[in-house]
Amino acid sequence: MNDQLPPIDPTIRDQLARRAAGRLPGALLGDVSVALNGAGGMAGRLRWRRRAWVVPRLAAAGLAVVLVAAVAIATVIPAHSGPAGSLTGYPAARPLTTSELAAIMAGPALPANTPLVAEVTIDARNDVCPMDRYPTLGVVEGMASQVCVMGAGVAAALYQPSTAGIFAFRYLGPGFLGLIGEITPAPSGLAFRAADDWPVTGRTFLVDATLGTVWNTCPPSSPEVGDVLLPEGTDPCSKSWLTDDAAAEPSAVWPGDNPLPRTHGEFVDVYGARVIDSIPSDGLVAGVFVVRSVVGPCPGDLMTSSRGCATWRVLALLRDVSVPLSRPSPTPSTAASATSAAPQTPVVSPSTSLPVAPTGLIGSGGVAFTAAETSALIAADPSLLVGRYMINERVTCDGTDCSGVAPHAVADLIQPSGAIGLVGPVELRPDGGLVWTVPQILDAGFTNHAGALYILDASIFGAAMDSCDAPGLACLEVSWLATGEGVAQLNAQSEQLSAQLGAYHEFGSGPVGGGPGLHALFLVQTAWDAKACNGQPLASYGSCSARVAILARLEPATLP
Amino acid sequence: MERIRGENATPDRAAFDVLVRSRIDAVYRTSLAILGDTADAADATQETFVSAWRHREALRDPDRLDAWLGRINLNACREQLRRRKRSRIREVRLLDPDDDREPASKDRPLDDRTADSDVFDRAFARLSADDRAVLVLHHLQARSVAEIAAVLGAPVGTVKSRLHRARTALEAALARESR
Repeated sequence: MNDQLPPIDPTIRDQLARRAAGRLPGALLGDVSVALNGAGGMAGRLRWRRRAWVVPRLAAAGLAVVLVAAVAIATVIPAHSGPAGSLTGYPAARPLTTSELAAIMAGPALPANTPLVAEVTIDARNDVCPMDRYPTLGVVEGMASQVCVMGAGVAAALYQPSTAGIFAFRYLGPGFLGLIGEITPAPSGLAFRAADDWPVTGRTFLVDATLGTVWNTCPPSSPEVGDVLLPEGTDPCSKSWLTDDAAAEPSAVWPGDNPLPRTHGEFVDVYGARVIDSIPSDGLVAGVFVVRSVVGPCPGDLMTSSRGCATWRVLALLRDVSVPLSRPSPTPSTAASATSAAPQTPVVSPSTSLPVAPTGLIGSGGVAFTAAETSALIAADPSLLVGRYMINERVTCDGTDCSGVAPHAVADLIQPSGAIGLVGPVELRPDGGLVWTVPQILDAGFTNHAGALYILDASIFGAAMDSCDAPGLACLEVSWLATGEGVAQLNAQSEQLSAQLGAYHEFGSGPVGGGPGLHALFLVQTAWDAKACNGQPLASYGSCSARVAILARLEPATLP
Repeated sequence: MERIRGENATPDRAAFDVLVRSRIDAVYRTSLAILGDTADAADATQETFVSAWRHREALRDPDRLDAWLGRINLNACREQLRRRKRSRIREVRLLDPDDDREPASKDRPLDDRTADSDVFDRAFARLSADDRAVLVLHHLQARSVAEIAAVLGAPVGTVKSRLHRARTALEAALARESR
């Protein structure tokens, strides 16, 4: 490809990748849209049309067609670029609408505990969705199928038959949302900026800002995480703040205990949300945060005032979501149904709506599918593959003659439309192999950039951190991956990879903590690119653990 | 993969929004790699799409969309760097008396010096926008000669020399920052 150019320097590449890493600012897409609205410009005669590879085209292409991705596109669009259904302005500028939330809840299962902010009406009911973990608060109006809202804490209650507003939820499973709180919107727009006057007295609100953290030298500790709907926050080893200054210098804050100047932002407690939402421990994290004013003991004050001290607690970090395009939205009459109306579908028990673990397909023997195999699988039964990951060979070249170009492995996600969506290239072992073990990833993998994809040969384990009594629903459990024997216990000294909370429920088998773990191939993505945290080697547990997000459990496919 | 193709028809803002959604992440990350500042990168990203919308008639060949957009993005990054020169107060790091780390030396291998993120960023900040861009296009994005030439607006035959010049400038900057 670059025969005339010098070889790529891996050190420069890694440094540039580090500079380019990080989350797309949540408000940027909305800002661009607003700027375009005011841009006007020349009268154009071009019509922009999106062209996608869809199933019929692939099937018709036949076995002779090599999946050639133009290198300009394959290398420019990184993994997890915004899908077609991404929402302009969400979550900083506007909440999800009722119909958007309905489409999301009717679509493929989201990762457990995904935060969502939506403007909906909740009908108070406590006779549906019985479960011990959370009381039922009500059902959401206008959903294609019943969506129950669960609460946490003694204050979680609806005091009116029907409550309309903007709410922050966590996705607990198909048909279940957990209520974080009702959102108080900012005077201008939905999210506050860090320098705004934030609401007090227990209000929940959004802040579009940058989270910075500095670490103090102290013995390792594992503070309380709390419930996913009521996370705790204090971590004695770190101090975090939200600021509008995206380049805030951490050293300018620690170790002073005085609040930041008003124009710089506010200190926040974030430990619980950091664990639940896998917020990186190091560096600056831009995004939209769900924040609440809470009252607790005054720090460093032995004679604590009976009134206590107000602190800002981060409850969640919102992520961009996409709305499935192929799902029908509820009709206007559905969305405007009477508040006293019963759910549109019969009451279901949690056990009948077990989330289906995202599964993926890989070639027999842990190899990527060739283009011919991919075409054959898609042609045989397109519907079987929708929503699944596939590990495929891909030839990348920028000319018309791709002969002699070696294919590499990529992870694809088959879209509801049937199109093949590129997730990203899969990392290869130094010896060229595709499947990694946990020790191999720890030795080499975390030197790669955040978001790197790996095929991992490991067993998944889980341990409950509190009661987890609702089958099929995410609960506060820790999950981890390990390769080999003697790794069934969570051990900071062992070579283990932390996975997202609730991962065992999604990808494991059997009761939490009750067995040898489920051995399989997993498609995982590194959570961040730190090889050490706060100067300490990565551990297997706690905020400094080596973390991955499990995207799918891979199964070998039988070719038609 | 998705591609955008132009046709002779009425301008379609909705279709342009699709283009924005599909490219915004890539444009932002390219800007961030070049500029090294999230706010500047966001501004450059916004300016890129606004400029692309305003000058969409200039795209004669839809198959060259990415190169065209890359060139606009590079211009936006150049402009951001010009604004930064005019407006930004340079931050100077004070020496820490407790910092007993071994001082960096220009005699250390290049890999060793570039592994220091802080040194690398300071050195990279010394480069021109075009030098930064050519390093990003080659070492980070592995673009072809033709694509790099298209983005830079330079003849294909000069890409290699530009890359050599940028690499030399980076090494000199690293040596200076490592003292």
